[in-house]
Amino acid sequence: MAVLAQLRREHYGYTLKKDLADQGLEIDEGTLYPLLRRLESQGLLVSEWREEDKRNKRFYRLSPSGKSVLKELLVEWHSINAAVDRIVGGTRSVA
Amino acid sequence: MDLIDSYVQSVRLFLPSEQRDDIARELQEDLRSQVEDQQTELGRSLTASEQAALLRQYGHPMLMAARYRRGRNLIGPVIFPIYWQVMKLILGILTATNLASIGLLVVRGGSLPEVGNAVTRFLDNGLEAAVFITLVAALCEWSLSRFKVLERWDPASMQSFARPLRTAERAAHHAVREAGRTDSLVRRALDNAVPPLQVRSVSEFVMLSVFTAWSVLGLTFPTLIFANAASMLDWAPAVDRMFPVIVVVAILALVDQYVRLMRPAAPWLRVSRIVWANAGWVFIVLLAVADHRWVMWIGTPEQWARYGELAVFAGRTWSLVDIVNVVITAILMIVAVFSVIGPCWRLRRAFSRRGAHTAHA
Repeated sequence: MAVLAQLRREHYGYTLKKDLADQGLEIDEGTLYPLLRRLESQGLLVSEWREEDKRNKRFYRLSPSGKSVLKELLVEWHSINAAVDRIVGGTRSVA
Repeated sequence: MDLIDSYVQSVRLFLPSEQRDDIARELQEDLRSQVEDQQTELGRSLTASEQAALLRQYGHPMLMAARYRRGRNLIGPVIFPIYWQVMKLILGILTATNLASIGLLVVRGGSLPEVGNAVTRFLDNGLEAAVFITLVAALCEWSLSRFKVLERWDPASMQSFARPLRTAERAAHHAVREAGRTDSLVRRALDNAVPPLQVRSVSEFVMLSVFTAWSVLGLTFPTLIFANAASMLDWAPAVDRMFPVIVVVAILALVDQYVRLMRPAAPWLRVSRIVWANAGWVFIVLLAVADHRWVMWIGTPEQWARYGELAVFAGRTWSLVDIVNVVITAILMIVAVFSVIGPCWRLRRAFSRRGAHTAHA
């Protein structure tokens, strides 16, 4: 979900990894690159080769179906998060 | 070729073929971007150990490539590419020998039930081989994961992975240019330029395990080698006498390969490499003094009537036994010649480069 959310803006593998790490989510390359391929094969991402800084890079971004899946995932995430918050908050008040 | 190139080449080797070039290119470009980024930060080039540290985050090339494979549950994705190669090779050999023996049966007037039996045995053999290879591959996969072989990977062992020969030549050439024209220097450079290669070792270990087990089993159960002809042919007594020697050499080769895998820096590996490189000569001498009777006839008189005189060539009549003996001798000769040509060719290329350089100078 984090990868999908980050790819609302276009990235290539290395900058995506850096951006995620900067926001506190470390994903190693051995996991990230195959994950990008899988998400692309599921139609959630689109990619293209383009030159940047004299180097050819494969840029990924969210596809239209990726956008709707992300929207559903975020709704689900917020509801789970709110539920866990209530539970944890409740536990805290008991403690 | 630096560590990054070697790493990408190694990963590429184990990637699914349909995505191989694309994934390798992406990996290469991103690794290069990362290296450039770090170099800009440090204000200098990355050292080999810094490159190695970077690659360690990506993981062993086989593990990295395995993460791109999906839906292979029978054998894990790490071993799968090697497993599949071995499977195709062994089943290919088995199909060739079985089709040859079925063809022979048809040509020599075999009845329909006989041909039917031969085909059934062929299918049985194929199934047994497939089960056997799968079991060995599963065992290899289990031991790789049990002893965390790939996790203990050192990227420095990748040096000169993809083209060891060319790197060796370059190193030899460099040694000559830098330090004179001493033959021992060229030899030393060659030895140093082709270090034990862990990735290649994993494939070699798995393949060697399968082939060793297959040959040893083939000597015990001739049907694995002779297919349908096993009811007429058996190994000659001389081969049976050699059986313990063959088993010992096979075990030594496996142990050597295992150490190469687990401890690529073990000092005696260089000695073992020289020994194995020269084993081809011993093999050729043994072949020259052997009587070339590898198999003997154990069939019935009826079978002899059918296969006793298969062809007349060079002024003599050839039986099935004669033909199989000649084929085995030819195969062993080819193996022996190749095992000698390899090291000789490598040295010859290095020395001819040296000659060209001297002439140029």
